[in-house]
Amino acid sequence: MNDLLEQFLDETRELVQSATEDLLALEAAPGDAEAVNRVFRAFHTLKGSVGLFDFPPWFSLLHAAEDCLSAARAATLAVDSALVDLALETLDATGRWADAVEIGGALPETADAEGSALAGRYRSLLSPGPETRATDAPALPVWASRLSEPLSGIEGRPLIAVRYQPRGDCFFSGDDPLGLVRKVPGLLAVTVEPAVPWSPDDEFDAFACNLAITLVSEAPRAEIETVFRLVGDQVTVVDLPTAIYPRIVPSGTMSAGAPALEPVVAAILAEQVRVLAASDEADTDAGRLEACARSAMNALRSTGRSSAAERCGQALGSGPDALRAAIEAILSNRTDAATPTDGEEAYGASDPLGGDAARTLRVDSARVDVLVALVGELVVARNGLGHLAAQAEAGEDAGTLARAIREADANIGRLSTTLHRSAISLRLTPLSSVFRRFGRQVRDAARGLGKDVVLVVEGEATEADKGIVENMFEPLLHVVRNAIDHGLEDAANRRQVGKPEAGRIRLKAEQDGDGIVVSVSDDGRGIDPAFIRRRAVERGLLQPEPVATMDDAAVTDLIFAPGFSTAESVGALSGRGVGMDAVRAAAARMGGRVSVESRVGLGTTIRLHLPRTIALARIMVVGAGTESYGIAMDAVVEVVRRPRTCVHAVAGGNATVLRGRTVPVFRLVELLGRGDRPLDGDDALLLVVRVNGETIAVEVDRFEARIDAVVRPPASLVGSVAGVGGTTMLGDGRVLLVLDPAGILADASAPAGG
Amino acid sequence: MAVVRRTDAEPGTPVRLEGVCPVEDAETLASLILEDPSAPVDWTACTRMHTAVYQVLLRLRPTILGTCGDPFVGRWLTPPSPG
Amino acid sequence: MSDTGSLRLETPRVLVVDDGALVRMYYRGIFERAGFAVDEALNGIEGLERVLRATYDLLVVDVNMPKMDGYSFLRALRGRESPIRSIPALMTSTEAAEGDREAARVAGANFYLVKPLSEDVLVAHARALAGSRP
Repeated sequence: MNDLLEQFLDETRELVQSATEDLLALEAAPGDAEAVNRVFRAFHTLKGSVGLFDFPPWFSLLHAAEDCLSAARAATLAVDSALVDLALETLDATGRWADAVEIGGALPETADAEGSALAGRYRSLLSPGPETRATDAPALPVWASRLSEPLSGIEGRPLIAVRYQPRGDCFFSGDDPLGLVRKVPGLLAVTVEPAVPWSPDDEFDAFACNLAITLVSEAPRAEIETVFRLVGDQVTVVDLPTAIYPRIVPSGTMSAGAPALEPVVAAILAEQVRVLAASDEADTDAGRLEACARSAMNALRSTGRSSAAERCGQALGSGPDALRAAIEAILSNRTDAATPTDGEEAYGASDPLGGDAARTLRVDSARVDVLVALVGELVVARNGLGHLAAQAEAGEDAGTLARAIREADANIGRLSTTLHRSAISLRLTPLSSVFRRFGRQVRDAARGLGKDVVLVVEGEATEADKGIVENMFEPLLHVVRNAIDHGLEDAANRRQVGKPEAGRIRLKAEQDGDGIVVSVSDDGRGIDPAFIRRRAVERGLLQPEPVATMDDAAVTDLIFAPGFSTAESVGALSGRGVGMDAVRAAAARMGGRVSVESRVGLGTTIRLHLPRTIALARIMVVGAGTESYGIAMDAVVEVVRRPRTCVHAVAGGNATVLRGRTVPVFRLVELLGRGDRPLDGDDALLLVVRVNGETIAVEVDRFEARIDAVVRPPASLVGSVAGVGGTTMLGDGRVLLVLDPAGILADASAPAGG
Repeated sequence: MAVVRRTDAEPGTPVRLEGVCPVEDAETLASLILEDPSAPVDWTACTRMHTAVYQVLLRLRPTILGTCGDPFVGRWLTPPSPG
Repeated sequence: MSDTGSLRLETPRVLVVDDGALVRMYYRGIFERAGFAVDEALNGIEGLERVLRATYDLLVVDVNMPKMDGYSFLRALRGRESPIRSIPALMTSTEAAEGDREAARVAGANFYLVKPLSEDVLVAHARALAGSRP
């Protein structure tokens, strides 16, 4: 169990115990003010602790109890048996709910009704009327609590917030979600944001809706619900506590292109204006003024607006009114008051979709030093060219010159390659930034499913390109959730098979040659190949006969096939129609791939094999038929020429013996589906390649060149071509398809249609 | 068709949204922006924008010229900042 | 004039002043994940002692605490003749009413967040107030 929850349950039981004793003492001696105070503090602490978790009925109940006890402490409410009984009942409920949370991770279903009944009795003790208080509303969902800035002029009026997340296919059914929003009466603010963050590499489907619309209205709830009645399943409506305001900056006044203040910064600035106005004590004024200036300047600087921050700093010297005026000017001139440099500077940081992260890099200074040294060498090498030109002019003989030029070329070539590698290393980021996010994710996922999960993280210091690190979170999260949801058995089942009750998820990163491998392992039930076989046939993915002949590893790999899900039921966490095929696609987009290893009863490991850098790759250019292809040298173990008589036909293909081992031989033209030409030449040219731990040989028609090149991920056009890992440009301007041996083989051995 | 761009356009020539921009315009607009990411989008003459069209702007974030001619969009929605 | 808060490159330091042990543990987890160094105080008196001994970029202050509550703590801090009086303070409370917010402003809090609060919201405001980049 996670520490915080464990501590919470311990603390809750202690507080219930001590408060019960104090209440019983109070019943005997109602005038004991110290005991009243202790009971109040116990409820206050309980409420604060419950508030850390998402148990709205519990929180509301304790809040109501605290209000009454606060009145009792202030002696405005009598400590009578009605109050003592109610408080004891509340402690009783609290104890039972703590047990339920410990066992099942959630409150009992009756908690809602029980909590509000008890809270109602507290309220009637305080005021016998039917008054209800804003704070008795259930705790807000997170999206609504983000609407967290007071709206001037609207305070005191009830507001309704709506979160509308249209279905992904809603455009196809003719919906225009904003069309509905247009009909909402009393609109105060609207934001539209991606429901799931867009990844920069995703192919964009203009007709898949990925939006979450949040709006605030002052119209009556019923009128708003009428507007959304046909999409009720996609809408959440909540009452906002009166003083909570949309974070949305009214956008009607904004001109295009100019950066808006971030909501948090705008909220902080606006609050400083109010704090400055709220002063009533001369002896704290200086401190308040300085704290407001410092807060405003920090907020502005945190998003790169130094010149606006400077204006606050200057105003500080002229007193609170000047500071207020300066802040108000920055707030109201959101768009045009910023100087051009300030605007640009601010823009990078205000980019709402993570552009800032892409623009700023934290770099180890030692890496910069290496870069500077290399640039120095390059300058020296260039001077050498000038010297050669002088020699040529002086009539040096051609042979000597050619040798010298070739040397200079090699030298500059080496430098530019090293320089490129060093520049790329600037972008290396440790995976810890991603791994760190999983503590919370695992906790939440485990809690949602009522499972105990221990997360073990290894190798978080492993580094990879920033772009890769940033893009691996989502696929990893999907795998981790799957592992918790479907991989790990529940506590009872684990006990039965003699495993520790707490399931174990291991998140591990390691370097692997030029790439990295990030793996998620669980010690759960494993994937049963028999089940996969049955399911694959049921789903019509495969015919029964080929399935029967596939080995278990290949069968297990089917979990990555589109349309395949191993869940018996769609899990609340990882279901949602996204399967492991999405994980495979995400890895492929990063130039990587996925693999799975599973043992029934012992657990499953899913590995993401990813490139470490988006770097110069060493490519061997080979000919197959009339065409040329690149193959990453990383995968090539050796290049051999074998007499064709040494390549034998065996069951299911060809093989040859290399260093005493039998190695299967595949012809590249055949793998690419272009191979009906007869074999020619006495010798077979073989690339010996290691793929997924196996050694195989790929026969090519020619070796053409070895080049270092930046391999770009497949553009959308060739993205669907099996086995293409990317493209690069040849010296003569031709586009070279760079093959991924693992990909070609997977597709060659995959069943028809795969 | 309410997404307009001259077929012989130089790179950087604005894409204009005109009149009612229905759901079908989303794909046209997306492909024009993807073809020439430097092209700004002029939305001043758009009188009614479908959600899918707005999503394209939000996703691809071209430079937006002017205030949207669709009063709802102009009043309530932040112009997606260029990316 | 005090340090008016230039952008800090070193680890920002936050002092959590709250009487709830569990609440402090919760904050500690959040702030450490967000890259802050975290110190704790159980009430306003301990808070003042801490603030005099170490340099902080941000105070996160609960309202209701025994011995010295959050309001008194902030008033005492803002009234000092020392640069520490300018440390930005974020007040957290379970009360959402406007009157409670106003009381926090009067005491000299620079922002007010209603509990229960989400990790994202807390971190975003804390970073901005402490002047550290996201």
